[in-house]
Order: sequence, then C-alpha cells, then structure tokens
Amino acid sequence: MSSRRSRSRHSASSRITDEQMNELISKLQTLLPEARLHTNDRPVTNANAAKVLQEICSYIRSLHREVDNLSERLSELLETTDNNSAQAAIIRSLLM
Amino acid sequence: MESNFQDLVSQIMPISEVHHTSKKGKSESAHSMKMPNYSSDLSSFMPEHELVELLWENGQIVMQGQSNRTKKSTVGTEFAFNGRVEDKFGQNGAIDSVAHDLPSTVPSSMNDQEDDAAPWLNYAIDDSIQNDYCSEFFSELTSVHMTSLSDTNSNLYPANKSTGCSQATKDSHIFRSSPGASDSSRSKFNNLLNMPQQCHNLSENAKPRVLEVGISSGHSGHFGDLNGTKFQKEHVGVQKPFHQSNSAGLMNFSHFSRPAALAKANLHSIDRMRSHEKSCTAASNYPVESTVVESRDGLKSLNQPKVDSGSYGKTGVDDAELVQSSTVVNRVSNSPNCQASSFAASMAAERTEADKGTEAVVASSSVCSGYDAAAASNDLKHKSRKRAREGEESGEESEDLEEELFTVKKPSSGHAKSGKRSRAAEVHNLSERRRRDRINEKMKALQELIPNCNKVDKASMLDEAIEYLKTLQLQVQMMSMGNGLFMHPMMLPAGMNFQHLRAPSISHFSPLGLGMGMGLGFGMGMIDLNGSPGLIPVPPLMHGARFPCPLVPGLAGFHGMPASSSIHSLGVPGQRPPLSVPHAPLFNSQAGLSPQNPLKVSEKDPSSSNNLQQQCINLEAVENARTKESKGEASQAVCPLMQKESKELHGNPVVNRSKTT
Repeated sequence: MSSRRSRSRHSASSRITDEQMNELISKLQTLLPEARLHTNDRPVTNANAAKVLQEICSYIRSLHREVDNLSERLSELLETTDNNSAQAAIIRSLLM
Repeated sequence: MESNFQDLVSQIMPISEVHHTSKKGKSESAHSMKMPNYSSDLSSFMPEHELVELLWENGQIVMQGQSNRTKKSTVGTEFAFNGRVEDKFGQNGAIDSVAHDLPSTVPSSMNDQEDDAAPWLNYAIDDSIQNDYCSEFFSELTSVHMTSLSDTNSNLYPANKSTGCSQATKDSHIFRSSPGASDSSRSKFNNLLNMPQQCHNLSENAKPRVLEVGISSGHSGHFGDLNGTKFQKEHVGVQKPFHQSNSAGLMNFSHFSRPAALAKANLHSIDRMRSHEKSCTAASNYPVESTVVESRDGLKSLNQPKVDSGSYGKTGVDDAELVQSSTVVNRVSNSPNCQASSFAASMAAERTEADKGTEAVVASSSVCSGYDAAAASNDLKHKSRKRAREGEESGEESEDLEEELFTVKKPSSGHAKSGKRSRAAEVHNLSERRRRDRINEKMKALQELIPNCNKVDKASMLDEAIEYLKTLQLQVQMMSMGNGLFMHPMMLPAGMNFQHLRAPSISHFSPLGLGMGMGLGFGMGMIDLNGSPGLIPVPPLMHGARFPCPLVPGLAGFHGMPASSSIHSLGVPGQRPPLSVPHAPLFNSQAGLSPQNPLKVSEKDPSSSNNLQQQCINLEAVENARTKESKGEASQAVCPLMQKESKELHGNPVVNRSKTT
C-alpha cells in the first residue's frame, strides 16, 4: 500500500504523468515508418516507451542523413541547371 | 524473577503476536474476535495511574504509557499499538511502533497526555537513540541518504539530523568497538544526554509522523511510508533506496530472513540495549533497538548490506543471543521464512535460545530469558509483573493470545506470501526505475537530435519532437521530389540508385499519405525530359494517381529497369482515385513554377491518361523496358500495395499502348 501511494505521489510529483508521456510517445510512434514499427499494434506502454523513443531517435537520425544526401544531390542538380531557371529557383527553395 | 518475567513475556507475547496477526490482517477476523475483549481489558488495565507507575519504571513506563495512549486511540490502532508495545517489551520487535505509538497517542490523546509526554520525552530519548541508530545506518549509506532520511525523519528528528547522526555514528562505533555493557551503557547515556532535545523533537515530531503514516501498520511500513513518500518526492538518487524500503514493508522482513549479519547487527543494538536496560529503561531501549534494526535492515538491504554485516559480524555470542531475540521478534511480526532463516542463524550462534525460538511462544520466552540474562533488570521484572497483572486481568484473552502465538505461523505463511509480494514489488520498483532511466536517456538523446530544443519539460520536448519529425519528413519528401523532378536524364541512373536507397523510407510514407516522393518526382522528371508540355500532370491531380506508384519506379530502377518503371508511373494516373496530400500546396507551387504546367487534366479524364501513356510510349526505350518488365520484378521489392499497383500498371499500359499504337 505504501508503495502504491508512493508511486502515485511520484508520478504526480513528476511533471509529466505516465499517461501523458505515453500519449506523446504514441503520437511520435505514428510518425514512424512501418518498417520501424516493431511494436506496431501495441499501444505505447511503460515497458516499450523506451524502445519507441529509441526507434524515433534512430529514425530522426536517418532522416537527417537523408536530408543531407538529398541536399547534396540538389546542390549538384543546381549546378547543372540554369541559374535563372525556375528549376533552379525551386531547387534553391528546397535547399534552403 | 526470570520465571515471572517469562510468564509475563509469554502472556504478553501472545498478545503481541495476536496483534501482529491482526496487523497482518489475514487472521484479523479471528484475532479481532478474540482481541476486542483484550483491548477492552487493556483499556481497563491501563488507567492513567498505570502510566504513572510506568513512568516510575523507566523503560516499562514508556511502554505502558504508550499502550494506554493507544487504548485511547481507535480499536484497530489500539491493537496494532498494543502489539507493538508488547513486541517492544518482549521482543523489541517494532521499534517503529514506539515512535508510531508516540505519534499515534499524540494525536488522539495529546492534550491529555502532554504532561505524560514530558516523561515520554525523556524516554523518547530512546527513540532519539533509535534515530541515531538509524542515522548510523544512514551514515553508512550515503550522505544523500542521510539527508533524505533526515528529511523524512525530519519531522520526527529535526535536531537529530546533524548532531544526532554524528553522535549516532560515533556511538555506533563505540558500541561496536566496545560491546561491553558498560561501554554501551555509557554510550547510550551519552546519547541520552545529547539527545534529549532530539527526543523532545521526536516526541513532538511523532505526531506528524503518525499523521503522515496514518495508521502505522508495520515497522517496515512506517519506514517505507515515510521514506517512500518523502524520498520519492526527491526523485533521483534518493528514490531507489526508498522505493525499496517502501516495497519493503514486508521487505524488511525478508531482509531479516536474509541477513544473519543483519540480525547480528540487530543483536548488537540489542546488546547495547541490554546494557542500557540495566542502566536505563529496558522497554524503551528495546523498542529503540528494534527500530534501529528495522531501519538498518531496510537500508542495509537496499544500500550497503555488506558493510553492516561485516561490522556486525564481529559481534560475539551475546550478539547472537540478541540476534535470536530479534529473530524471534521478526518471526512474530514477520514471515515464517524469515524466521526460519534467522532461526538458522541464531541456532548456529546459540542453540539454547534458538530452541526457544523454534516455537513462537518459546521464542518469546527465549527473548525474555535473553533479556533477563543480559539485563537481569528489576525494572523489566516489574514491568513484566505489571503486565502479568494486566495479563491476569485479561486472563482468558492472554490464553487465547498464546494459542494465537502458536497459530502465528499461519499468518507468517501469509506473510511469506506478502514477503514474496514485497519482493516482487521491490523488483518492480527496480525495473520501474531502470525503465525510467532508460526513457530519460532516450529523451535526452531525442532532445539532442532536435535543434534549438531547450525545453526542460518532457511534455513540451516531446511535442517539439513530434513537430520536428513531421517537418523533417516533409522536408525529405520535398527534397526527394525536387530531386526527382529536376533530375537530369543523365543523372537518372544515379538518381534511381539513390532513390532505391531511400525507397524503404519512402515506402513508409506511402501509408501515411506522405509517400508520393520518388515516383511522382520521377514521373515529372520523365515528362520534363520528354519535353511534352501538355502531359505534365498538374500536381493536385497527380497526387492521387502517383501515390501508389512512387515506390515502383524506385524499385524497378533498382531492378535495373528504371525507365520502364517511370513509365509505369506515368501510365497509371487514371487508375487511382485522387488522394489528398498534405503537401499538395507545395506541389502546386512547383507546378506553377514549372513552365509546362498548362494542362490541368483530371486524373480520371481518359484523355489525360492517354496523353501520359502516349508520352510514355513515345519513349521507345522506355517502352521496351516496360514490355520486358514483369510483374514479379516490380512487386518483388515492393509491399503488397505496390504489387497491386504493378498489376494495375501492367494491365493499363497494355491497353494504352494498343490505343496509342
């Protein structure tokens, strides 16, 4: 009983409750590509929250890499296009 | 004397046990049935003058006074308190009970008892001593723990924190070094001298304690509750130990069972107590000891059991006796398992007492005998006499209690279960904590991945992460689209490969409606390359048609037939119902920018599809590739959805081709 009480107090004392946290993490989870959804069907629980977060972190890293690669490509593309062309403008806007 | 004492003990003990059982709640009903009379008797027994007498006899006085006060409290509490007091008296079992008793008594009868409180306070010094012991434990632990404990106990022992702890540590060392009764007694006296303020504080603090604790269930419960609530408030370092302690209402018991060393430690304290008994009040000392032991157990088990065990391992035979007594107490109060283990330890140490310990009653007697032997204090006897009187008054009840003592083992089994539960709870707490650490770690990593995220708050941080992830996905999508859109024909193969690399991630997007990227880009790129002005699909229309396709081209390209794949994508348009895409606006803008977006053809419009098809067909090379392409190739790397797409593509292109040709 004491543990229960203490637990509730603990969660109350922390700024974010487990429910809130899980809700947010599940939101993040929906943004994950399917291939990364190992815990697809399962709702985010205390047990797998860390896993989901880990997955999100790695996914964000992969997105970063992708953006880098794409921007590289686009910059190459930009070099080959006419500077004044609409394409160049678009590429530049994409590269921002 | 001893015999009387034993008798008293036996009488008392059963009651205490009964109380324990009642506390445990499993045997509450039966015990309660028996107990009510007893409680009433006790109340009758415990007139205020008894309190005066008790005061007369130092330690005992305290005990009785407490019991009286407890009587004042509600019945349920009374039972618990009585049991505790008795435990203290006979077994020294629940030191906490002493403190608790004080607070409990305080709230209910504080007004009446304030006068009494003064003597109490004097004896409460013992409590302070207990605190000191606890502080010793804590000191052994970490300074943080110390502080935390002091915080938790702060209500109880505000003054004790600094002075008390240091003194306690010193005292403890002294005790250890000099197990002799005289030394111990001295140290105790010193403690007493030093502690009076603390004691007062304690007694005063006891009230808050009680309030916080609410009803004091077990010693462990007390510590656990206090520690749990307060410590948990302090999340980080402090939490662990306290969680454990919390879980350990029962945990303490288990701890008892585990460490013979702990028991020895307890014995040490008991030894001290003995010496103290001689000089001071045995009862008060006992409770103090018990509390110390309890705190030690919880803390030790949690934190630094080894140290304690080592230090206590030094204790001699006397300690062993004490251990036995403590074990007995533990038994009564706690789980049989613990008892067994503790008994084994105690047996090894001394069998004489151990034999006593085998049976609960015997154990109690052994405890009493131990006390007698050690202290041989008249005070105790007096106490026992008084109690005997009380017991006589209670008479039948005491017998019942004895029976209950025998039956104690049952509750102990239940306690064993509870012990398991507590252990499980402890494990749970540990795992919970580990989980939390892991999550926090990931959260930190996530935060580092998010640029300009200075949020300390987890919730806002996660919100930001969500937003950032969305924008990142969009950015990648746009960039890949642009990349495909403006990809020069020469660059196509490379682009294909590149896209192929990305394909998996893109495929993920598709279900979310984000995954237009590659295929669409390709299609547009192809159109551009071809230079067919009218064919450029206007973005809004395009989205729907292209969506499913995008992956195909990439994959196809991967397979080595890039052109064909792109053609496919172009050919499909009419097939798919338009899906609204979040970034449609962007697309529109792009389309607007592109010089050749004049035609706004609906996807469903056959002409548009025909046009597209024509374009595709116009690319002979592409066409060839397409003919070569097999469904399997396209579908292999693609998800089922994509397979479907490929089928559609295959079907339509042929028709279109025929038309165009």
